[in-house]
Amino acid sequence: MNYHKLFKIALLTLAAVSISACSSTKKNASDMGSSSYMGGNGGVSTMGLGPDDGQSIGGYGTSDAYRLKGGANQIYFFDFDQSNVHEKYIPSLNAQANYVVSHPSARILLTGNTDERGSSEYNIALGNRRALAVQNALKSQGVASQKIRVVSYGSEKPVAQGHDDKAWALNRNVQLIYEAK
Amino acid sequence: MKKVMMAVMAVVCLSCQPISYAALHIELTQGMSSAIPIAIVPFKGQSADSNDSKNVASVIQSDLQNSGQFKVQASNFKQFPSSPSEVNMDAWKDVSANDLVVGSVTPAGGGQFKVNFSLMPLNQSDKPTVIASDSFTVPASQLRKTAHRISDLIYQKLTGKRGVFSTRIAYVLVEGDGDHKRYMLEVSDADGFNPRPIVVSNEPLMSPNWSPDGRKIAYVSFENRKASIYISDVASGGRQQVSSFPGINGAPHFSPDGNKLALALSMDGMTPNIYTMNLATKALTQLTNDGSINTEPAWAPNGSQIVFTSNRGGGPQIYKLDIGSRSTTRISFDGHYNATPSLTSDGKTLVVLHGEGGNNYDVATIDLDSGATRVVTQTGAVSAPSVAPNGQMVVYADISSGRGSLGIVSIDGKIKLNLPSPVGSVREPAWSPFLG
Repeated sequence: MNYHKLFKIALLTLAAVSISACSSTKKNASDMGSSSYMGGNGGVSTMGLGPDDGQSIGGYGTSDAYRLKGGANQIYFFDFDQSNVHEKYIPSLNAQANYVVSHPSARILLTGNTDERGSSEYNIALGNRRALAVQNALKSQGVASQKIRVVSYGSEKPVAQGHDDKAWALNRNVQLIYEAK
Repeated sequence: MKKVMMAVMAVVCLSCQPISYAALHIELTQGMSSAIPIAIVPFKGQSADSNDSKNVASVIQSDLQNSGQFKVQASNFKQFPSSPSEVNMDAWKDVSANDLVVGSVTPAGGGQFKVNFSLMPLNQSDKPTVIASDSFTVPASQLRKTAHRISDLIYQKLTGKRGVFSTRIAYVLVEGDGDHKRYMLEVSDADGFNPRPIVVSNEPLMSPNWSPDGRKIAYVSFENRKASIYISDVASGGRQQVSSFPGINGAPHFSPDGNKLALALSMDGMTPNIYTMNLATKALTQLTNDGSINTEPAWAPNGSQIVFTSNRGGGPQIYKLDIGSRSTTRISFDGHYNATPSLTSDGKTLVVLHGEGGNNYDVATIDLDSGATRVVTQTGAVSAPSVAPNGQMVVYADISSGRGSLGIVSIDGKIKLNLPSPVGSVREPAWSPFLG
């Protein structure tokens, strides 16, 4: 029990640290997808990055526990027009990297995705950039290139079908899919 | 998660037994206030019935009315001449029309029909003066096509510009939900009539581009669970894969002579660059080589330059590259986002997808001499503008109604049309060249 609590506190601390790291990066108003505020937290404002509240999106879990499960398919969300991997996903990526390194037959597909706005072909390039950023994070943890396949779908395969900030935030993602375990 | 891989069905040829596909329904929403009034009398030999898709006069009436440049009178006539010799100018004195079209459709034996038409200005003299006329002998299946040709001739005579009533548009139609979507590359007449699929797939299709002779379409397909570029023959449905390199294979664009394809490839790199491919030998020439996103190449009509989208300056803007010298100049300056470039056939106007702030993307034109940018749509949810071969109209995709539909806008923004699809979501339109 105590161990679980400590673990949770550690995770929350990590999340808080990465969230405040987020809010310090420069954004202008047009970059805001859905805006949400951490209530009563000394006025810190944060970007919504998809639900990350344990809900399942398109078959992917988003709870902290799920994200840390090596060998479980993952979905990682991105800010508008950004392709840097958020610090909050590093533990999850490490768990996946560890799994791949310790399971020689494991192979991963990374798909890069964007929201629907703007040029489809330009979105293919943006999605590609996001998927490659995740690929680099995995490679820096020892995963060999041959274990990872990258495809950008740009705005062609949205997980959320709406046409509002909420859907757009969900569609800015990279999906990490085990093609073999 | 086992992914079910379904083969692509390369579909039936366009001349085969038609399956009834739901046509895009064209609607003019804004015409010119200075539209030319024109009277078009029902052609002798066909009863006035706008529901008959082979009614030649009805098709001409719709073509000219939907151009936004004509105000068509189709009824309330005092007489029904079918040839200039039958016209009694007194009967047309009070009519507001500037011009009169008369004609006939008569059986010519062997299942063929003879179609005649004459165009006469009104209120200019006491005797009818024919300024355009022609005669066609065609099978019933070609009556609609013949009507479009007549519309082209009338349009050209009265506006001085070539009509696009005989052209086609290609587009992607997406149906279904979630994991069970179906993607179709379809070709229809420019008025949305007679849609036919040429590719059907369970994986996305995008970026259709017509060859200059109108016989082929290049496009991107994800059927192999990666992006590849194919060229399909429009009449037969036959196709070949021309590009399936590692990474991005995107944005195919035929050269003006039809011998090369410009395309965007990332190979083993982080970002795509512009290449050209010799279609006979498949040899590649790399034209850009920097770490920025370079994509959406479009050839200038002279074949020596390519315009393309690049974010080398921060956000996406349009650049022009001279193929011989490789020198590159930026040509878009207004707004934070300019992409999907295409040039009118006179090379003077650039049509782009344009963003000025926030989430809004609209069609804009850039006058390449003056640099002036004019935004011509106002929905804010636009993508994939494609200019017509006469440089007068632009077709684009619009998601503002929630379901993807197509829109058409004139190059000056004054004429607007919608082409919604009754089913699914339509996107990625490409206007054909002038055809046969």
